[in-house]
Amino acid sequence: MISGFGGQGVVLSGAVLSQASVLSDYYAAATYTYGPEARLGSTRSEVVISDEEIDYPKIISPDYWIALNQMSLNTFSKRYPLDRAIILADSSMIKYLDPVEGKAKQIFKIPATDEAERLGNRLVANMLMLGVFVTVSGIIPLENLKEAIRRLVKPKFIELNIRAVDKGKEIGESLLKGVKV
Amino acid sequence: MYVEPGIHLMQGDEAIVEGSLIAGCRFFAGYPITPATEIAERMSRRMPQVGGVFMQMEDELASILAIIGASWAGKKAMTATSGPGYSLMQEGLGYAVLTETPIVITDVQRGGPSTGLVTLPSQGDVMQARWGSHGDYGIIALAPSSAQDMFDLVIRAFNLSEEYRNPVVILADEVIAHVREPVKVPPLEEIKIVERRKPSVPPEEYIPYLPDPGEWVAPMPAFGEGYNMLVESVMHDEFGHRIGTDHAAAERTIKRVYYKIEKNVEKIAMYETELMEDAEIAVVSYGSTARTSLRAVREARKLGIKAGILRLITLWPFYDKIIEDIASQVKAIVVPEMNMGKIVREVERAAKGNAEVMSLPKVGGVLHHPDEVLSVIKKAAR
Repeated sequence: MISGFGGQGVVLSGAVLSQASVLSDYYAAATYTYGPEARLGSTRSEVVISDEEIDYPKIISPDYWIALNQMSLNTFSKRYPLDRAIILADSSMIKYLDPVEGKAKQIFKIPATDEAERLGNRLVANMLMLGVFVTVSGIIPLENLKEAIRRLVKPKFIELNIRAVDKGKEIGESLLKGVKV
Repeated sequence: MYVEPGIHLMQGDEAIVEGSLIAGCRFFAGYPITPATEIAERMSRRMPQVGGVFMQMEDELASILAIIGASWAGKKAMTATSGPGYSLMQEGLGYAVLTETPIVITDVQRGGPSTGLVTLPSQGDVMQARWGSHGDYGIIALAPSSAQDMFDLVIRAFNLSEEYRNPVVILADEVIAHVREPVKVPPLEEIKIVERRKPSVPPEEYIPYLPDPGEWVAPMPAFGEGYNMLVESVMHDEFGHRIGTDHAAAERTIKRVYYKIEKNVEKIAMYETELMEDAEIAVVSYGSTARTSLRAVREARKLGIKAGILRLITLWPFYDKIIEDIASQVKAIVVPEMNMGKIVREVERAAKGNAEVMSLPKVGGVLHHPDEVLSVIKKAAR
């Protein structure tokens, strides 16, 4: 699950993740929930990745949750069981983890938006988080994520997005080693 | 020109565009509306690539009338909208019915009434699809459950619209329109395409609304092919002439536009069953809800409950016989729908009291959770 507000690229990252999953020989179904606003409304991508054909296309109990803002963290912490969830929280945007602390299986704090800003554009925090996700989860080769970006992202932004993914991979590797980022 | 055979990751709204182009659609007129906007967007790019025409219209009234005109000009034509636009199209839809014009209308359902829940799914338009325009007529409506269905069923919709010279409605919903999932595109030669039947008689012998013997509809020439065609929305006879108070001629025309669909239900109806062989509880479901239901049925089996699913692909004409058959087999039928309970009325009628029919309505713009369906299955099994 990927959650945030409109404008953070929640829908695009769901699309990219589903594409990367299919390139990695999984079945995938990505659905999106957003409001009528073009910006700042609550937005969520649900990506079901499976070895089998997917019946119910929504998330029942998330295994991974990329949370990009405080509001969505607060809202969905109440809506989903989190005992299986590994949460990747954008600590640049999320200051209070109380709603999920003690409930989730594991929580990683990643200053994704700050790191993205250092790369040149805060809007690639979403792809940076996907880089972290594929590294931490180990279920999708990084190259397939990059190929998905090449297929779905506007040409002039591909290079920047791929740099974000590489940064995410670096952060993911540190997290796996237990290094705080 | 067409999407390559093979497996593609596509949104439902993209799959329906690719399917329609393969079906032969060469004219699209529409007005963008969430959650059908991606159809218009992709059409605007793809139509010129296949030599077709895309027109963004001023509204939905104009959109449906434009595709009716295109159809009479000899093109396969489609529009796509959501509930508010579909409401506006009802007058044009009736016009297409009485003039026996093949068109395809995609209604990506969102929550109503009125402007409603603009970005959220619903199955609230299923009765509107049957009865939305005034008067008596037959209509075909198909309910896709996946991006794959969007591709497959739009081809089927074009084929049916040509075969019966009638509007065909694709009743999708927001989940199916936006879901991004793998779609298998078969080689072109494996896809059955029905082309419009043209008159075999010379123009002076052609009668535009008189079916050939053994057929339900007349062949349909295009404007400019030399045939006189009266495209008349006033009640008309077989020649297209206004009939005033000729009750018998009116009755003939009305009964034909009604029965050409209703009497062919066996040929038109599509459905799928899973785990029904020994089922004692049946879930009757359609559209995105069918996926929730399938999940619930599988969970029920894990608990030792003999549950199965009937997925209705064709909603209209309603296939009474399959419900009758199931009602004589099971003790209860559960009908989850993203509305206040609509198709359940048809199920109740067709079940004729042979099985308990349990409605599971859901409104507010969200799919049922599989547990909600499962809990009713459990209740039914007790």
